[in-house]
Amino acid sequence: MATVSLSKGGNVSLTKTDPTMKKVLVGLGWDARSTDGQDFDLDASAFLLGSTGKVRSPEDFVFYNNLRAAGDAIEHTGDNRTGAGDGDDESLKVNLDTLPTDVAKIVFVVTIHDATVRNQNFGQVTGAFIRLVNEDSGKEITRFDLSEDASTETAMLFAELYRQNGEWKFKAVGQGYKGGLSSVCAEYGVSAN
Amino acid sequence: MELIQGGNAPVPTQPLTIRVTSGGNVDVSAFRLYQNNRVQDDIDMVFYGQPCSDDGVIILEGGSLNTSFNINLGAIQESVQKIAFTATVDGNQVIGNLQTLKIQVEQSGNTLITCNVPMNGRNESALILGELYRRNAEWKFRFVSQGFNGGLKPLAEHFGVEVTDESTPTISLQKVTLSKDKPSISLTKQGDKFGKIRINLNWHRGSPHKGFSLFKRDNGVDLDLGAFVRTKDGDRTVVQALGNRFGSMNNTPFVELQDDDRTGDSTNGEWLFINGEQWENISEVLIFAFIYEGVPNWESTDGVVIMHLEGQPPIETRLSEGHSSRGLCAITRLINNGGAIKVERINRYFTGHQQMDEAFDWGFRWKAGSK
Repeated sequence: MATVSLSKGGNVSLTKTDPTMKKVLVGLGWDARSTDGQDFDLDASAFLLGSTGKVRSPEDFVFYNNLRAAGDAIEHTGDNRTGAGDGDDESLKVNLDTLPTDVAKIVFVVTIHDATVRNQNFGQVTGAFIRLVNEDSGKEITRFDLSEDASTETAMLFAELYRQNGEWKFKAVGQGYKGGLSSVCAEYGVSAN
Repeated sequence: MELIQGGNAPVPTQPLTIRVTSGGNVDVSAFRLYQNNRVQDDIDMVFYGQPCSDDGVIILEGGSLNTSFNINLGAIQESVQKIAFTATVDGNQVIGNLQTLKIQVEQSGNTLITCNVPMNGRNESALILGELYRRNAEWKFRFVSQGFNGGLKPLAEHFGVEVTDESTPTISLQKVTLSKDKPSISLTKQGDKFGKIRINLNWHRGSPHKGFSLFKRDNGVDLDLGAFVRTKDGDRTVVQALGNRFGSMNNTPFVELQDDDRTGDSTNGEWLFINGEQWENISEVLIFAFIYEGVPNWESTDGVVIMHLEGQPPIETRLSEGHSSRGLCAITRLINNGGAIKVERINRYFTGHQQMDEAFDWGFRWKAGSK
């Protein structure tokens, strides 16, 4: 598959463009802060949604305190609180084949922990990106430069995978979100505090 | 447009001015950065000790409360990826003490981008204010507003500048500060002649108790800079705005005062120039400041005089320990000492010109004047 360049809102049928993709990896990376001040703690999260557009249960919210859901069909590799290390600092892995059939959509979200208290946004973070990769082939399907293109945001709805007519489709959203992770949770029917 | 911290915006690839204004004295520098956000050499730093980049594309003007860089963006070397602009304050000060700090991007006098640094809880003493950077074959500006509590050293190291001590062979980051403990310095020529010697006086306009009002000089203090000059032929001249005695660079006394700007919109302070080419014809220059308007209060005025000689670190002396009932300060004098310039800090306060004249035995005849 040639690299697909996606504009915001663009839809791609994975079955057609990358029919071999069974395992999806969403990788989030950023550089550890080199200036003085509070660390930048970015978090990648996912919501498994039913046909109503809400989670089937609170366990469908996959994040730093809930690393697995739907059997082992989706897995979070663990919380990174500083950005230390190269490449993806946090990732979410999804096995499309083993996802329960009543999961109609997966939404991937990136947020800054305590952004309001720490007065931070993506633009203050160096080298922040989120990308979606075919884990088997290593091919990058889309990448979003958070530092540059979501600079004044503190939370972003990155991408959606959804079922349509028996196949998985992918939509790069790149939509900023006010109010952080808790308001995203409210949107998808997870009560969080 | 106004950016918040972390925000960015495209800028035209044209000659631009980056201006940094503050409510207190601050040293502003620019760093030319290559791949990996690092300098290649000390020459990549443009600051008070090196106010022009080697290719002449980045030129620093002003200083202290209002510093600007004129940058011909289209002429920046291809290999330069970024130009970072920084602010540092002295020793135990923090950026938060400045009360206001602003960086803006201007083009032909129009402000394109304004960035006000949030000052609440600012504990850094060196701050990366913003950066011009290449992105997809265009230039953009980012409002960074992050820095280092440890000041200039960690900041410079962040950009890959090796900071040794004060005795760095090529560049000294240190200013020479004349103080009670170190009242004089002797300067010899770098090359054939001394170039243009530039002396700047700057100060806080407003009363810090009411909050700074940088641009309003009406309610504040107007300080005038002046000099007594004695040439080798024995002539004595007063150079000052009072009485319109602005002097001359090319004729006796070879000392000239820049037109006094009392319109209120200059934040560069006052400038006095000495023609270093003619130093051999000058015996002594006594530099003073006097309060033309306002009540003498030297502590809150916080005057600072910085002397710039080509190829030399700037020499700074502060108008501290002032006697509040005396409106005139003899700041420093430059003495021709066998061809070298001996700079002596004086920092003595007088009620007027005549008293100072008597103290240093110049022998002018005085009468009241106005500008």
